[in-house]
Amino acid sequence: MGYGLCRLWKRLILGCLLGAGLLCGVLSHAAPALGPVPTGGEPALGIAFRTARALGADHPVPSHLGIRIHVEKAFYKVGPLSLKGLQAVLGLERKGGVLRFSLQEAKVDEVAWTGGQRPLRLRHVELNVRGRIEPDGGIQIQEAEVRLPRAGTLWMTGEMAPEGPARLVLGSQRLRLESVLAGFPAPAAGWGLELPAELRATWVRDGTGRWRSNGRIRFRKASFHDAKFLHAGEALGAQVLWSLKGREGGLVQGRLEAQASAGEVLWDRFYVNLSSHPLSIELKGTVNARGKRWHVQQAQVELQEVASVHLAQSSGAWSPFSGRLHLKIPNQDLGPFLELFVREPFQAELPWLSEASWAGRLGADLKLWVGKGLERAIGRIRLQEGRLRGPGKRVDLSGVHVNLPVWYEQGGPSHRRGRTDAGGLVASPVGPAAQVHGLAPGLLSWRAFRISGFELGPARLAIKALRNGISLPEVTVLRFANGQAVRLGPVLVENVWSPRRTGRVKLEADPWDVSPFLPPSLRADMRPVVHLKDQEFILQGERIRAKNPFTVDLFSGTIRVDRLELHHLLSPNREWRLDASWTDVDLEALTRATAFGRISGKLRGSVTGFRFAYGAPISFDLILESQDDTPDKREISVTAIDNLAQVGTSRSPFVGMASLLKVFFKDFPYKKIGIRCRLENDYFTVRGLVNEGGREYLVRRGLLRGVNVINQNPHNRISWNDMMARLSRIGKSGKARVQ
Amino acid sequence: MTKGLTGKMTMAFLVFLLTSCVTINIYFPAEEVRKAAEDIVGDIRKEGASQPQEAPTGTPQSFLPRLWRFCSVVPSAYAAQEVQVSNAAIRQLKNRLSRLDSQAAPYFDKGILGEGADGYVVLLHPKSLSMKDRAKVSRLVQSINADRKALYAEVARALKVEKSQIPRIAQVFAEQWEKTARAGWWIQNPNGSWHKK
Repeated sequence: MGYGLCRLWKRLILGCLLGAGLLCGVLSHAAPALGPVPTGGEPALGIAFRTARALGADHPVPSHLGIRIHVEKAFYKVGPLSLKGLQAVLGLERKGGVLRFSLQEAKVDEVAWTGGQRPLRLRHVELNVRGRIEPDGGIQIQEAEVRLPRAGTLWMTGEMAPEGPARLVLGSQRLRLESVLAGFPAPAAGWGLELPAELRATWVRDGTGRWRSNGRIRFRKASFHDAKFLHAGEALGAQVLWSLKGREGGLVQGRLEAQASAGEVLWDRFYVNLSSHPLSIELKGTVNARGKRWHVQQAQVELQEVASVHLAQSSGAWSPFSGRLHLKIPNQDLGPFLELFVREPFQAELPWLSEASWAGRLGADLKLWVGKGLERAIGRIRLQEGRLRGPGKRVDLSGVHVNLPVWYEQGGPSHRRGRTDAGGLVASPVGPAAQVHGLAPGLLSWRAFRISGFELGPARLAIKALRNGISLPEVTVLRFANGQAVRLGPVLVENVWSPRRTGRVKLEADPWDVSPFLPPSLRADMRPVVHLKDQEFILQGERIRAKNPFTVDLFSGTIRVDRLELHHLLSPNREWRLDASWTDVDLEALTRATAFGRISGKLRGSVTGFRFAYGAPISFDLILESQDDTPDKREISVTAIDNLAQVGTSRSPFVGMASLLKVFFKDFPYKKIGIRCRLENDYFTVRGLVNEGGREYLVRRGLLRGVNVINQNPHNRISWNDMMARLSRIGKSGKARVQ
Repeated sequence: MTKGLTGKMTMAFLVFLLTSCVTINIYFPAEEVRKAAEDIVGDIRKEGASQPQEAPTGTPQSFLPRLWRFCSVVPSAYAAQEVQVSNAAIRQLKNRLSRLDSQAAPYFDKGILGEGADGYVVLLHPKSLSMKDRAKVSRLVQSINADRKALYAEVARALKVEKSQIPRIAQVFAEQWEKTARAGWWIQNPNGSWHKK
C-alpha cells in the first residue's frame, strides 16, 4: 500500500511542478522578437495577423501608442516548449515609457513540453493576460488567467527583470489535477483518479540564478481506484506543503510535508480509515536534476496510532528509479499494527486470529536496495517484551525478545548448507556480504512458554542470518517445568521470505513424556512417551514432516511412527498424515482408558494413509490384531464383545441378552482378535482377519469356551453417520451400554 | 526410379510416425464429479438457507485431544448426508461454505457478487458498497474462494483425479452453483459474458 501511495504522491507533486513550470516557461519567454517565420533556430515565432496599424521595426515609435492586434494561427517554440495554433487579441499601449500589454481571449490549440521522457501536451488552452513592460525591460504580470480544458482555471501574478530577479505566484481554487497528470502513464490500465485540488505556489528567483519555491496543495474529496475498485481511496482529504530551493539546472533542496486526514483507503483486503488514523509524511532531501539523482536526508511516514517508519540518508537515481534506503522503525507498540493489518484482514479465513491476543514493541533497522522491486535487504528486526496468547490460552508465550538479523537477496541463491561427517546438520558460515554490513548474530529469548499442558522455562537461542535464510546454529536445551528437557537445534530455514521456504529443525527428546498434551481427564490413564533421537523435522513450503521414524511408548507397547506430516500449519484446513505400527500394546490398559469394555492381552497393528483434518479422520486403513506370541491372558468382557459387534456388524451375538449374561460371565477367553477397518469417502468397512471354515471372525473364541464374533456381511459398508451413531451409543456418559 | 521409391517410403514412414503418436487420456470421471457437485452444492445451499448470518466459529483444538475425542468418546455429529464423495474435510468445508454463503447471499441478491464460470465467486460491482463494506465483502469473497478451492482439491483427491484436473472440477461445480442460485443472481457464461438468472 505504501508503495502505491508513494507513487501517487510522486505523480501529484511532479505534475503540479511541471504544470507550474510550463506556465512559467510560457510567460518568461513572452516577449520574443517579432519577425518572419524562421526556417530554423530558436526561439521561433510565426504570426499571421491583421491590424489597423502595423508595427514595424522601421517605424518611429510615438510617445503614446495604442494598438490591437488580432493574432491568428501563430506558433511559438522555445526549447522544449511549443505553442501551436495561437489565436488572440493582443493589446499594446505605450505611455510614458511603459508598455502595457494584454492578451485577451487567447486560445492555443496545443501547448507541448517535450523536455521529459514523454511529451506533455495540453490542448485547447485559453489565456487572459494583462501586464506591463517597464522601461528597464522588466515585465510585470498583473493578472494572468489560464483555463485548461477539464483541469480548471489557474491564475498567476508576478514580475521579472531581464536576467534579474523574478517572482511568480500561481494559484487555483479548484484544479482537476488528474487532467494535468493525464500526460503521465497511469499505474495500470483501468485506474481512475479524481484529484480536485486547491493550489497556491510561489516561485522566486534572485539575480544570481538561485531560486526558491514554496506552496501548498489541498485535496478535498479526492479519490483513486483500480479497474475493480479493490484498490481505492475515497473522499480523501490531504494537504501537501513544500519548500524548495535550488539553482537553475542544478541541485534542488527541499522539504515536503503531506498529511492525509480524511477519507478511506482500501488496498485489497487492507482497509484504513484516515480519519481515525491520519497518514503523515515528512521528507527532507535533494534532487540533482542534471544527474537525475535523489537523496533523502530524513523522512518519516506515520500512520497515527498504528505505525511509524523513518528513512535516513537514502539516495539513488530516479530514472529508472533505484536507490539504497536506510529504513528505521522506532520501537513502537505492535498491537495496533497487527490489529489493522493482520487480525482484521485475515480473521475470516483464520478464525483463530479472532481469539488470539498479542503485545510487544517492534523496531527495525534495515538497509534496502531498491531497483526492480526490493533487490536486497540487510539489517535487523527487534521485538521487545512480546506476548502471544493463542485461542483458549493453549499457547501462551510471554517475555519474548527477538533480535532477528535479516539478509534478503532477490533471486539470490540460497546459502550453501553443509553436513558434518556424521551426517548432522551444520549451518554455513555467514557469507562475506553479511560481515561487510556488520550483521552480527541475533537472539531469540522468552521468559515463559506454555503450549497445551507444557510449560517451558526461560530460554535463549542464538540466531544467524543467512542469505534468504536464518539459522539457529547452536543446540539449545529447553527445560520444561516438570523437569523434562528437549534439545533443539541446529535449525536452518532457507528461502524464509518466500512461500517455497524449506528448512530443517533438529529435535532430540529421549524420552519425552507428552501426556501434558492430553486433556486432563486422560492423563491418569495414558502416558505416551516419545523417543526422538537424532530427529529432524523437514519444512517444505507448507508441509512439515519428521525425517526419520520414531517410537512412542504407550500402554506398555511400542508405536513406531514411520511417517508424520503436518500440512498447512496456519490454515484452517491443516491436516495431519500418519503411518504407524505398534506391538505389545497392553489391551487391558488401553480399554481401561476408554468406555469400550475390558479386553486383556497384547495388541499389534498398523495404521496407514491416516489423514486427520477439521477435527476428524478423513481416511485410514487400520489393522488391529491380538498377539498370540505372548503368554498374557487373553480375555474379553461381555461389554467389549457386544460393543465390538455393534461397531463391526451392528448385530450383537448376545441377541439382547448381554445384560443377563453379565450377571454370570464377566469375561470370555478368546483365541484371536483380528480386525481391519478402513475409512474412505465417508464409508467404513470392517473386516475380520481370522478366516476359518469360510467364515470371517472379528473375535475367535477360545478352545473350550468363549464367544465368536462373526462378520456376517463382509462387504458391508457403514456410512459415516451410521458409525457415528454406533460409537455414540458406546461412548454416551462415558460408559458402555449393552442392549 | 529407386530414388522416387525411397522418397515415398520415407514419406510413408513419417506419416506412420505422425499418426502413431501415443494418445494420453487423463482420467476424469465427469459423471461422478457432476453427481458430487450436485450433492455438495445442494447441501451447501440448502444448509446456507437455514443458517444464521453469523454462525459461531467453535473452539479449535489441537490434534491429540481431537483424535482421542474421536477414538474414545463421541465424535461430532453431522447433518445427514449420504453423498458419494465425502469425508471430514469436505463436510467441514461444506459447513464453512454454507455459513459464508448465507453471509454472501444479500450481496448476490443486490448484484454485487456473481457466480463465475470458473466455479468461484466474483465481486462484480464493489463500487456500490461503502469502502468498509467493500473491504468486508472482498475478504468474504476471498474466504469463500479459498474454501471452494480447498473443496475442489478435496473432491479431486476423493475421486482420485489428478491435481491438474481441478479447474475442470471447478467448472462442473460452476454449473451447480448456477443451478442453485436464486433468481436475480448474476451468472457468468462460459464465454465470459454475464446474465441474470
